[in-house]
Amino acid sequence: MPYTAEISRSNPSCLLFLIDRSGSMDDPFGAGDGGRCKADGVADAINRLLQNLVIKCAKSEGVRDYYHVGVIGYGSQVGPAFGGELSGQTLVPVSELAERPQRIEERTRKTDDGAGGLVDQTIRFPVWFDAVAKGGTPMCEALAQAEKTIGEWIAQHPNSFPPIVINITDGESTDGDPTAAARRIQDLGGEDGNALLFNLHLSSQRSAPVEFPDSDSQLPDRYSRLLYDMSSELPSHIQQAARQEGYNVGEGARGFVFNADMVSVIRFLDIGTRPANLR
Amino acid sequence: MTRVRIRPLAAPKRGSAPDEYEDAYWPRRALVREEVRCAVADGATESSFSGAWARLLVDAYRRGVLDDELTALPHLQRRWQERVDAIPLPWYAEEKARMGAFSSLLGVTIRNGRWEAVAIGDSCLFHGRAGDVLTAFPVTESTELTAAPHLVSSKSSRNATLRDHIRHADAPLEIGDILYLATDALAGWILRRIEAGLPLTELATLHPATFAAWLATERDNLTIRNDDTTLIRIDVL
Repeated sequence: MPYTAEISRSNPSCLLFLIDRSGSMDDPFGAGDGGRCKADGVADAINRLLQNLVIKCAKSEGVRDYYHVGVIGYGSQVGPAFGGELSGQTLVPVSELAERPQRIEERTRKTDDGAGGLVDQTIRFPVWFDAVAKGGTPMCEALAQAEKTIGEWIAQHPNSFPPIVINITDGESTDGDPTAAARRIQDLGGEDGNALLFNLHLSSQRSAPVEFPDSDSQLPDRYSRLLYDMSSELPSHIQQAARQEGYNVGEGARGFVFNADMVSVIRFLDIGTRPANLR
Repeated sequence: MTRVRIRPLAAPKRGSAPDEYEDAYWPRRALVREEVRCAVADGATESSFSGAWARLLVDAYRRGVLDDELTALPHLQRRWQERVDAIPLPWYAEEKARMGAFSSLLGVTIRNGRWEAVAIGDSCLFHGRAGDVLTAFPVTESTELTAAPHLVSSKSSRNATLRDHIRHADAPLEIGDILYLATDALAGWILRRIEAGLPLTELATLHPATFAAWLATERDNLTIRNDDTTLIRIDVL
Protein backbone atom coordinates (compact mmCIF):
# COMPACT_ATOMS: atom_id res chain seq x y z
CA MET A 1 0.00 0.00 0.00
CA PRO A 2 1.51 3.39 -0.94
CA TYR A 3 2.36 6.14 1.55
CA THR A 4 2.84 3.74 4.45
CA ALA A 5 6.65 3.66 4.70
CA GLU A 6 7.91 4.42 8.18
CA ILE A 7 9.70 7.77 8.37
CA SER A 8 12.77 7.33 10.54
CA ARG A 9 16.36 8.46 10.81
CA SER A 10 17.50 5.37 8.88
CA ASN A 11 14.70 5.80 6.33
CA PRO A 12 14.11 9.56 6.10
CA SER A 13 11.74 11.38 3.79
CA CYS A 14 12.18 14.62 1.88
CA LEU A 15 10.41 17.98 1.84
CA LEU A 16 11.22 20.44 -0.91
CA PHE A 17 9.75 23.94 -0.79
CA LEU A 18 9.47 26.18 -3.83
CA ILE A 19 9.06 29.87 -3.01
CA ASP A 20 7.88 32.51 -5.43
CA ARG A 21 10.07 35.61 -5.04
CA SER A 22 8.86 37.40 -8.16
CA GLY A 23 8.05 41.10 -8.54
CA SER A 24 4.31 40.43 -8.42
CA MET A 25 4.76 39.36 -4.80
CA ASP A 26 5.03 43.08 -3.96
CA ASP A 27 1.25 43.32 -4.45
CA PRO A 28 -1.04 43.40 -1.41
CA PHE A 29 -1.91 40.09 0.21
CA GLY A 30 -5.67 39.45 0.11
CA ALA A 31 -5.80 37.61 3.44
CA GLY A 32 -3.35 39.85 5.28
CA ASP A 33 -3.60 43.05 7.23
CA GLY A 34 -3.52 46.29 5.30
CA GLY A 35 -0.03 47.02 4.05
CA ARG A 36 1.27 43.45 4.01
CA CYS A 37 2.39 42.22 0.61
CA LYS A 38 2.41 38.69 -0.75
CA ALA A 39 6.22 38.51 -0.38
CA ASP A 40 5.77 39.04 3.38
CA GLY A 41 3.18 36.26 3.26
CA VAL A 42 5.64 33.91 1.52
CA ALA A 43 8.47 34.70 3.95
CA ASP A 44 6.14 34.20 6.88
CA ALA A 45 4.78 30.94 5.41
CA ILE A 46 8.18 29.37 4.69
CA ASN A 47 9.69 30.43 8.03
CA ARG A 48 6.71 29.03 9.93
CA LEU A 49 6.71 25.80 7.89
CA LEU A 50 10.43 25.27 8.57
CA GLN A 51 10.06 26.22 12.25
CA ASN A 52 7.21 23.76 12.70
CA LEU A 53 9.09 21.02 10.87
CA VAL A 54 12.19 21.48 13.04
CA ILE A 55 10.11 21.47 16.22
CA LYS A 56 8.25 18.37 15.05
CA CYS A 57 11.57 16.54 14.70
CA ALA A 58 13.04 17.96 17.95
CA LYS A 59 13.56 15.76 20.98
CA SER A 60 15.24 16.54 24.26
CA GLU A 61 18.64 15.43 22.93
CA GLY A 62 18.45 17.36 19.64
CA VAL A 63 16.77 17.24 16.25
CA ARG A 64 16.24 13.85 14.64
CA ASP A 65 16.86 13.74 10.90
CA TYR A 66 13.49 12.38 9.80
CA TYR A 67 13.59 14.71 6.76
CA HIS A 68 15.94 16.13 4.18
CA VAL A 69 14.80 19.66 3.43
CA GLY A 70 15.38 21.99 0.51
CA VAL A 71 14.14 25.39 -0.62
CA ILE A 72 14.23 26.52 -4.26
CA GLY A 73 13.49 30.19 -4.86
CA TYR A 74 12.17 31.53 -8.16
CA GLY A 75 12.04 35.14 -9.32
CA SER A 76 14.89 37.00 -10.95
CA GLN A 77 16.73 33.67 -10.73
CA VAL A 78 15.90 30.06 -9.95
CA GLY A 79 17.94 27.97 -7.52
CA PRO A 80 18.65 26.90 -3.97
CA ALA A 81 17.51 29.73 -1.75
CA PHE A 82 19.16 29.04 1.60
CA GLY A 83 21.32 31.92 2.80
CA GLY A 84 24.13 32.12 5.34
CA GLU A 85 25.97 28.92 6.17
CA LEU A 86 23.54 26.80 4.14
CA SER A 87 24.02 28.93 1.02
CA GLY A 88 24.16 26.93 -2.21
CA GLN A 89 22.96 23.66 -0.65
CA THR A 90 19.96 21.97 -2.26
CA LEU A 91 18.91 19.51 0.44
CA VAL A 92 20.07 19.47 4.05
CA PRO A 93 19.15 17.25 7.01
CA VAL A 94 16.56 18.97 9.19
CA SER A 95 19.06 19.14 12.09
CA GLU A 96 21.30 21.45 10.01
CA LEU A 97 18.32 23.65 9.30
CA ALA A 98 17.67 23.83 13.05
CA GLU A 99 21.20 24.93 13.81
CA ARG A 100 21.58 27.48 11.02
CA PRO A 101 18.75 29.97 10.64
CA GLN A 102 19.86 33.36 9.32
CA ARG A 103 18.95 34.86 12.69
CA ILE A 104 16.76 34.25 15.71
CA GLU A 105 14.31 37.02 16.63
CA GLU A 106 12.53 37.45 19.93
CA ARG A 107 8.76 37.74 19.62
CA THR A 108 5.96 38.03 22.11
CA ARG A 109 2.84 35.93 22.12
CA LYS A 110 -0.13 35.41 24.37
CA THR A 111 -0.15 32.14 26.23
CA ASP A 112 -2.28 30.34 28.77
CA ASP A 113 -1.21 31.21 32.35
CA GLY A 114 -2.62 27.94 33.67
CA ALA A 115 -5.28 29.79 35.69
CA GLY A 116 -7.70 30.70 32.95
CA GLY A 117 -5.94 33.90 31.86
CA LEU A 118 -3.39 34.93 29.26
CA VAL A 119 0.12 36.23 29.77
CA ASP A 120 2.73 37.60 27.36
CA GLN A 121 5.52 35.15 26.70
CA THR A 122 8.78 35.85 24.89
CA ILE A 123 9.68 33.18 22.36
CA ARG A 124 12.64 32.74 20.04
CA PHE A 125 11.56 32.77 16.40
CA PRO A 126 14.09 31.62 13.78
CA VAL A 127 14.20 33.39 10.41
CA TRP A 128 15.63 31.61 7.40
CA PHE A 129 14.10 33.85 4.73
CA ASP A 130 13.26 37.54 4.34
CA ALA A 131 10.70 38.89 1.89
CA VAL A 132 12.01 39.21 -1.68
CA ALA A 133 10.02 40.42 -4.72
CA LYS A 134 12.03 40.76 -7.91
CA GLY A 135 11.79 39.57 -11.51
CA GLY A 136 9.33 37.25 -13.29
CA THR A 137 7.67 34.06 -12.06
CA PRO A 138 9.51 31.19 -13.76
CA MET A 139 7.40 28.48 -12.13
CA CYS A 140 8.02 25.94 -14.91
CA GLU A 141 11.76 26.25 -14.43
CA ALA A 142 11.38 25.96 -10.65
CA LEU A 143 9.29 22.80 -11.05
CA ALA A 144 11.89 21.40 -13.46
CA GLN A 145 14.63 21.99 -10.89
CA ALA A 146 12.44 20.35 -8.27
CA GLU A 147 11.92 17.35 -10.58
CA LYS A 148 15.70 16.94 -10.94
CA THR A 149 16.33 17.29 -7.20
CA ILE A 150 13.52 14.91 -6.26
CA GLY A 151 14.48 12.39 -8.97
CA GLU A 152 18.01 12.16 -7.64
CA TRP A 153 16.78 11.87 -4.06
CA ILE A 154 14.35 9.05 -4.93
CA ALA A 155 17.14 7.18 -6.73
CA GLN A 156 19.13 7.29 -3.49
CA HIS A 157 16.14 6.51 -1.24
CA PRO A 158 13.86 4.20 -3.28
CA ASN A 159 12.11 2.71 -0.22
CA SER A 160 11.47 5.94 1.66
CA PHE A 161 8.18 7.75 2.13
CA PRO A 162 7.91 9.75 -1.14
CA PRO A 163 9.09 13.37 -1.24
CA ILE A 164 6.57 16.16 -0.78
CA VAL A 165 7.06 19.33 -2.81
CA ILE A 166 5.29 22.41 -1.41
CA ASN A 167 5.01 25.32 -3.83
CA ILE A 168 4.23 28.73 -2.27
CA THR A 169 3.17 31.22 -4.92
CA ASP A 170 0.66 33.76 -6.22
CA GLY A 171 0.18 31.39 -9.13
CA GLU A 172 0.98 33.80 -11.97
CA SER A 173 3.61 31.81 -13.88
CA THR A 174 5.49 33.86 -16.50
CA ASP A 175 7.32 31.04 -18.29
CA GLY A 176 4.29 29.09 -19.49
CA ASP A 177 1.67 26.68 -18.21
CA PRO A 178 3.26 24.76 -15.29
CA THR A 179 0.82 21.83 -15.50
CA ALA A 180 3.12 19.49 -17.46
CA ALA A 181 6.11 20.26 -15.23
CA ALA A 182 3.93 19.52 -12.19
CA ARG A 183 2.83 16.18 -13.68
CA ARG A 184 6.44 15.15 -14.24
CA ILE A 185 7.11 15.59 -10.49
CA GLN A 186 4.00 13.59 -9.63
CA ASP A 187 5.12 10.82 -12.01
CA LEU A 188 8.35 10.29 -10.07
CA GLY A 189 7.90 7.27 -7.88
CA GLY A 190 9.65 4.99 -5.44
CA GLU A 191 8.51 1.77 -3.76
CA ASP A 192 6.10 3.63 -1.47
CA GLY A 193 4.33 5.71 -4.08
CA ASN A 194 4.78 8.80 -6.22
CA ALA A 195 6.08 12.19 -5.15
CA LEU A 196 3.41 14.59 -3.90
CA LEU A 197 3.01 18.19 -5.01
CA PHE A 198 1.08 20.57 -2.74
CA ASN A 199 0.38 24.23 -3.52
CA LEU A 200 -0.08 27.18 -1.18
CA HIS A 201 -1.70 30.00 -3.12
CA LEU A 202 -1.20 33.50 -1.68
CA SER A 203 -3.45 35.77 -3.68
CA SER A 204 -4.36 39.46 -3.82
CA GLN A 205 -7.98 38.33 -4.14
CA ARG A 206 -10.01 39.05 -1.04
CA SER A 207 -11.95 35.78 -1.36
CA ALA A 208 -12.60 33.46 1.56
CA PRO A 209 -9.69 31.14 2.48
CA VAL A 210 -9.99 27.57 1.19
CA GLU A 211 -8.23 24.58 2.74
CA PHE A 212 -7.76 21.13 1.20
CA PRO A 213 -10.76 21.26 -1.15
CA ASP A 214 -11.93 18.29 -3.23
CA SER A 215 -13.23 20.49 -6.05
CA ASP A 216 -12.35 23.87 -7.52
CA SER A 217 -15.89 25.23 -7.16
CA GLN A 218 -15.02 27.64 -4.32
CA LEU A 219 -11.90 29.00 -6.01
CA PRO A 220 -12.08 32.58 -7.29
CA ASP A 221 -9.87 32.74 -10.39
CA ARG A 222 -8.02 30.80 -13.07
CA TYR A 223 -4.72 30.93 -11.12
CA SER A 224 -6.20 29.21 -8.11
CA ARG A 225 -7.96 26.63 -10.28
CA LEU A 226 -4.71 25.92 -12.14
CA LEU A 227 -2.83 25.38 -8.86
CA TYR A 228 -5.67 23.18 -7.59
CA ASP A 229 -5.41 21.06 -10.75
CA MET A 230 -1.65 20.75 -10.21
CA SER A 231 -2.03 19.57 -6.61
CA SER A 232 -1.81 15.91 -5.56
CA GLU A 233 -4.59 14.21 -3.65
CA LEU A 234 -3.82 13.90 0.05
CA PRO A 235 -2.85 10.31 0.98
CA SER A 236 -5.50 8.66 3.11
CA HIS A 237 -3.53 8.83 6.39
CA ILE A 238 -3.08 12.59 5.92
CA GLN A 239 -6.80 12.95 5.21
CA GLN A 240 -7.48 11.00 8.39
CA ALA A 241 -5.12 13.19 10.44
CA ALA A 242 -6.82 16.30 9.02
CA ARG A 243 -10.26 14.99 9.98
CA GLN A 244 -9.05 14.20 13.50
CA GLU A 245 -8.08 17.87 13.78
CA GLY A 246 -11.54 18.93 12.70
CA TYR A 247 -10.91 19.75 9.04
CA ASN A 248 -13.82 18.97 6.75
CA VAL A 249 -11.81 16.94 4.25
CA GLY A 250 -13.44 14.96 1.43
CA GLU A 251 -12.17 11.68 -0.06
CA GLY A 252 -10.56 13.45 -3.01
CA ALA A 253 -9.11 16.35 -1.01
CA ARG A 254 -6.08 17.96 -2.60
CA GLY A 255 -2.91 19.31 -1.06
CA PHE A 256 -3.96 22.86 -1.84
CA VAL A 257 -4.79 25.89 0.27
CA PHE A 258 -5.87 29.37 -0.85
CA ASN A 259 -4.90 32.39 1.28
CA ALA A 260 -4.65 30.16 4.31
CA ASP A 261 -2.13 28.45 6.53
CA MET A 262 -0.38 25.25 5.40
CA VAL A 263 1.46 24.61 8.66
CA SER A 264 -1.22 22.02 9.40
CA VAL A 265 0.38 19.78 6.72
CA ILE A 266 3.48 19.53 8.91
CA ARG A 267 1.30 18.38 11.80
CA PHE A 268 -0.33 15.74 9.58
CA LEU A 269 3.03 14.12 8.74
CA ASP A 270 3.33 10.85 10.65
CA ILE A 271 6.61 10.26 12.49
CA GLY A 272 5.06 8.55 15.52
CA THR A 273 2.44 9.01 18.20
CA ARG A 274 1.01 12.52 18.13
CA PRO A 275 -1.27 13.13 21.13
CA ALA A 276 -4.79 14.27 20.28
CA ASN A 277 -4.46 16.95 22.98
CA LEU A 278 -1.29 18.43 21.39
CA ARG A 279 -2.92 21.06 19.19
CA MET B 1 -4.42 -14.94 49.62
CA THR B 2 -3.70 -14.41 45.91
CA ARG B 3 -0.06 -14.49 44.90
CA VAL B 4 1.14 -13.31 41.54
CA ARG B 5 4.37 -13.64 39.59
CA ILE B 6 5.20 -10.55 37.54
CA ARG B 7 7.62 -10.56 34.63
CA PRO B 8 8.42 -7.44 32.54
CA LEU B 9 9.78 -7.40 28.99
CA ALA B 10 10.91 -4.25 27.18
CA ALA B 11 12.65 -3.29 23.94
CA PRO B 12 13.30 0.02 22.18
CA LYS B 13 12.06 0.90 18.73
CA ARG B 14 14.27 -0.54 16.00
CA GLY B 15 16.77 2.12 14.93
CA SER B 16 16.67 3.84 18.31
CA ALA B 17 19.38 3.70 20.95
CA PRO B 18 18.49 2.04 24.28
CA ASP B 19 18.55 5.44 26.00
CA GLU B 20 15.91 6.69 23.53
CA TYR B 21 13.38 4.18 24.88
CA GLU B 22 10.43 6.30 26.08
CA ASP B 23 8.15 3.69 27.62
CA ALA B 24 8.26 3.22 31.37
CA TYR B 25 7.17 0.28 33.52
CA TRP B 26 7.09 -1.14 37.02
CA PRO B 27 8.20 -3.54 38.37
CA ARG B 28 11.55 -3.43 36.63
CA ARG B 29 12.36 -7.10 37.30
CA ALA B 30 10.56 -10.37 37.90
CA LEU B 31 9.08 -10.81 41.37
CA VAL B 32 6.36 -12.61 43.32
CA ARG B 33 3.95 -10.64 45.53
CA GLU B 34 0.59 -10.90 47.25
CA GLU B 35 -0.21 -7.23 46.72
CA VAL B 36 1.42 -5.10 44.07
CA ARG B 37 0.96 -1.93 42.02
CA CYS B 38 2.18 -2.33 38.43
CA ALA B 39 2.20 0.22 35.62
CA VAL B 40 3.20 0.83 32.02
CA ALA B 41 3.38 4.20 30.31
CA ASP B 42 4.24 5.15 26.75
CA GLY B 43 5.86 8.55 26.20
CA ALA B 44 4.73 10.04 22.87
CA THR B 45 7.26 10.25 20.05
CA GLU B 46 6.03 13.69 19.06
CA SER B 47 6.84 15.33 22.37
CA SER B 48 10.16 15.82 24.09
CA PHE B 49 11.15 14.78 27.59
CA SER B 50 8.28 12.31 27.26
CA GLY B 51 10.34 9.37 28.56
CA ALA B 52 11.01 11.34 31.75
CA TRP B 53 7.29 12.16 32.02
CA ALA B 54 6.31 8.48 31.53
CA ARG B 55 8.75 7.48 34.28
CA LEU B 56 7.35 10.11 36.66
CA LEU B 57 3.82 8.79 36.07
CA VAL B 58 4.78 5.15 36.58
CA ASP B 59 6.82 5.95 39.67
CA ALA B 60 3.95 7.95 41.19
CA TYR B 61 1.47 5.15 40.49
CA ARG B 62 3.60 2.41 41.97
CA ARG B 63 4.20 4.45 45.14
CA GLY B 64 0.46 4.99 45.48
CA VAL B 65 0.82 8.76 45.05
CA LEU B 66 -1.34 8.79 41.95
CA ASP B 67 -4.94 7.93 42.79
CA ASP B 68 -7.64 6.91 40.34
CA GLU B 69 -8.49 10.52 39.53
CA LEU B 70 -4.83 11.54 39.12
CA THR B 71 -5.16 14.33 41.69
CA ALA B 72 -1.39 14.39 42.21
CA LEU B 73 -0.73 15.46 38.62
CA PRO B 74 0.14 19.13 39.43
CA HIS B 75 2.95 17.97 41.71
CA LEU B 76 4.33 15.68 38.97
CA GLN B 77 4.02 18.45 36.41
CA ARG B 78 6.13 20.75 38.60
CA ARG B 79 8.78 18.07 38.95
CA TRP B 80 8.85 17.55 35.17
CA GLN B 81 9.17 21.31 34.59
CA GLU B 82 12.02 21.56 37.10
CA ARG B 83 13.92 18.88 35.23
CA VAL B 84 13.42 20.65 31.89
CA ASP B 85 14.30 24.07 33.31
CA ALA B 86 17.57 22.72 34.68
CA ILE B 87 18.88 22.17 31.15
CA PRO B 88 19.90 25.04 28.80
CA LEU B 89 18.03 24.37 25.57
CA PRO B 90 18.43 25.59 21.97
CA TRP B 91 15.42 27.41 20.45
CA TYR B 92 13.76 24.33 18.98
CA ALA B 93 14.08 22.21 22.13
CA GLU B 94 12.82 25.09 24.24
CA GLU B 95 9.76 25.50 22.01
CA LYS B 96 9.14 21.75 21.94
CA ALA B 97 9.39 21.50 25.73
CA ARG B 98 6.96 24.41 26.02
CA MET B 99 4.36 22.19 24.33
CA GLY B 100 4.74 19.72 27.18
CA ALA B 101 5.39 16.00 27.30
CA PHE B 102 2.67 13.40 26.77
CA SER B 103 2.29 9.82 27.86
CA SER B 104 -0.26 7.08 28.23
CA LEU B 105 -0.65 5.47 31.65
CA LEU B 106 -2.00 2.08 32.62
CA GLY B 107 -1.86 1.36 36.32
CA VAL B 108 -2.96 -1.99 37.73
CA THR B 109 -3.26 -2.86 41.42
CA ILE B 110 -3.50 -6.49 42.53
CA ARG B 111 -5.01 -7.00 45.97
CA ASN B 112 -7.59 -9.13 47.73
CA GLY B 113 -7.88 -11.51 44.79
CA ARG B 114 -8.81 -8.78 42.28
CA TRP B 115 -7.21 -6.44 39.80
CA GLU B 116 -8.18 -2.78 39.62
CA ALA B 117 -6.99 -0.68 36.70
CA VAL B 118 -6.87 2.96 35.68
CA ALA B 119 -5.99 3.95 32.12
CA ILE B 120 -5.51 7.03 29.99
CA GLY B 121 -4.53 6.49 26.37
CA ASP B 122 -3.71 3.34 24.48
CA SER B 123 -1.67 1.12 26.79
CA CYS B 124 -3.84 -1.93 27.40
CA LEU B 125 -4.60 -4.69 29.87
CA PHE B 126 -5.69 -8.19 28.77
CA HIS B 127 -7.14 -10.65 31.25
CA GLY B 128 -6.79 -14.27 30.12
CA ARG B 129 -8.30 -17.41 31.63
CA ALA B 130 -7.96 -20.95 30.27
CA GLY B 131 -7.10 -19.74 26.77
CA ASP B 132 -9.88 -17.14 26.60
CA VAL B 133 -9.48 -13.39 26.85
CA LEU B 134 -12.07 -12.20 29.38
CA THR B 135 -11.25 -8.50 29.21
CA ALA B 136 -9.42 -6.08 26.93
CA PHE B 137 -9.10 -2.67 28.60
CA PRO B 138 -9.39 0.24 27.81
CA VAL B 139 -9.18 -0.44 24.06
CA THR B 140 -11.27 -3.35 22.79
CA GLU B 141 -10.70 -3.25 19.01
CA SER B 142 -7.48 -2.89 17.03
CA THR B 143 -9.03 -0.20 14.83
CA GLU B 144 -9.40 2.03 17.91
CA LEU B 145 -5.62 2.27 18.14
CA THR B 146 -4.77 5.41 16.20
CA ALA B 147 -1.67 7.56 15.92
CA ALA B 148 -3.42 10.28 17.91
CA PRO B 149 -4.63 9.03 21.31
CA HIS B 150 -5.57 11.41 24.13
CA LEU B 151 -2.70 11.26 26.62
CA VAL B 152 -1.67 12.70 29.98
CA SER B 153 0.28 15.92 29.53
CA SER B 154 2.94 17.51 31.69
CA LYS B 155 1.14 20.82 30.98
CA SER B 156 -2.12 21.42 32.82
CA SER B 157 -3.41 23.50 29.89
CA ARG B 158 -3.32 20.33 27.72
CA ASN B 159 -5.28 18.30 30.26
CA ALA B 160 -8.51 20.32 30.15
CA THR B 161 -10.59 17.27 29.15
CA LEU B 162 -8.46 14.63 30.86
CA ARG B 163 -11.26 13.54 33.20
CA ASP B 164 -13.34 12.53 30.18
CA HIS B 165 -10.55 10.19 29.11
CA ILE B 166 -9.76 8.39 32.39
CA ARG B 167 -11.04 4.80 32.35
CA HIS B 168 -11.45 2.39 35.26
CA ALA B 169 -12.06 -1.36 35.41
CA ASP B 170 -11.69 -4.21 37.88
CA ALA B 171 -12.36 -7.95 38.09
CA PRO B 172 -11.71 -10.96 40.32
CA LEU B 173 -8.73 -13.22 39.69
CA GLU B 174 -8.51 -17.01 39.77
CA ILE B 175 -5.49 -19.24 40.06
CA GLY B 176 -4.04 -19.78 36.57
CA ASP B 177 -5.26 -16.45 35.20
CA ILE B 178 -2.81 -14.33 33.22
CA LEU B 179 -2.81 -10.55 32.89
CA TYR B 180 -0.83 -8.82 30.17
CA LEU B 181 -0.07 -5.10 30.30
CA ALA B 182 1.14 -3.85 26.92
CA THR B 183 2.04 -0.57 25.26
CA ASP B 184 0.19 0.17 22.03
CA ALA B 185 2.30 -1.59 19.39
CA LEU B 186 2.03 -4.92 21.19
CA ALA B 187 -1.55 -4.20 22.27
CA GLY B 188 -2.41 -3.88 18.57
CA TRP B 189 -0.77 -7.24 17.86
CA ILE B 190 -2.74 -8.87 20.70
CA LEU B 191 -6.06 -7.33 19.62
CA ARG B 192 -5.56 -8.48 16.02
CA ARG B 193 -4.83 -12.03 17.28
CA ILE B 194 -8.01 -11.97 19.33
CA GLU B 195 -10.03 -10.65 16.37
CA ALA B 196 -8.59 -13.43 14.16
CA GLY B 197 -9.55 -16.08 16.74
CA LEU B 198 -5.89 -16.96 17.36
CA PRO B 199 -4.49 -17.90 20.76
CA LEU B 200 -2.00 -15.79 22.70
CA THR B 201 0.03 -18.82 23.70
CA GLU B 202 3.24 -17.61 22.05
CA LEU B 203 3.21 -14.55 24.31
CA ALA B 204 3.44 -16.86 27.29
CA THR B 205 6.66 -18.40 25.93
CA LEU B 206 8.51 -15.07 25.75
CA HIS B 207 11.26 -14.24 28.20
CA PRO B 208 14.04 -11.65 28.31
CA ALA B 209 16.43 -13.73 26.21
CA THR B 210 13.91 -14.29 23.38
CA PHE B 211 11.84 -11.11 23.37
CA ALA B 212 14.11 -9.02 21.10
CA ALA B 213 14.38 -11.77 18.46
CA TRP B 214 10.62 -12.42 18.52
CA LEU B 215 9.94 -8.68 18.10
CA ALA B 216 12.42 -8.45 15.23
CA THR B 217 10.61 -11.23 13.37
CA GLU B 218 7.19 -9.69 13.94
CA ARG B 219 8.49 -6.28 12.83
CA ASP B 220 10.01 -7.84 9.71
CA ASN B 221 6.63 -9.44 8.97
CA LEU B 222 4.91 -6.08 9.57
CA THR B 223 2.65 -7.78 12.11
CA ILE B 224 3.79 -5.40 14.84
CA ARG B 225 4.49 -1.71 14.44
CA ASN B 226 8.05 -0.56 14.98
CA ASP B 227 7.81 1.27 18.29
CA ASP B 228 9.10 1.07 21.84
CA THR B 229 7.48 -2.10 23.13
CA THR B 230 6.73 -3.12 26.70
CA LEU B 231 4.92 -6.14 28.10
CA ILE B 232 4.27 -7.06 31.72
CA ARG B 233 2.99 -10.56 32.30
CA ILE B 234 1.24 -11.32 35.58
CA ASP B 235 0.50 -14.97 36.46
CA VAL B 236 -1.86 -15.79 39.31
CA LEU B 237 -0.23 -18.55 41.34
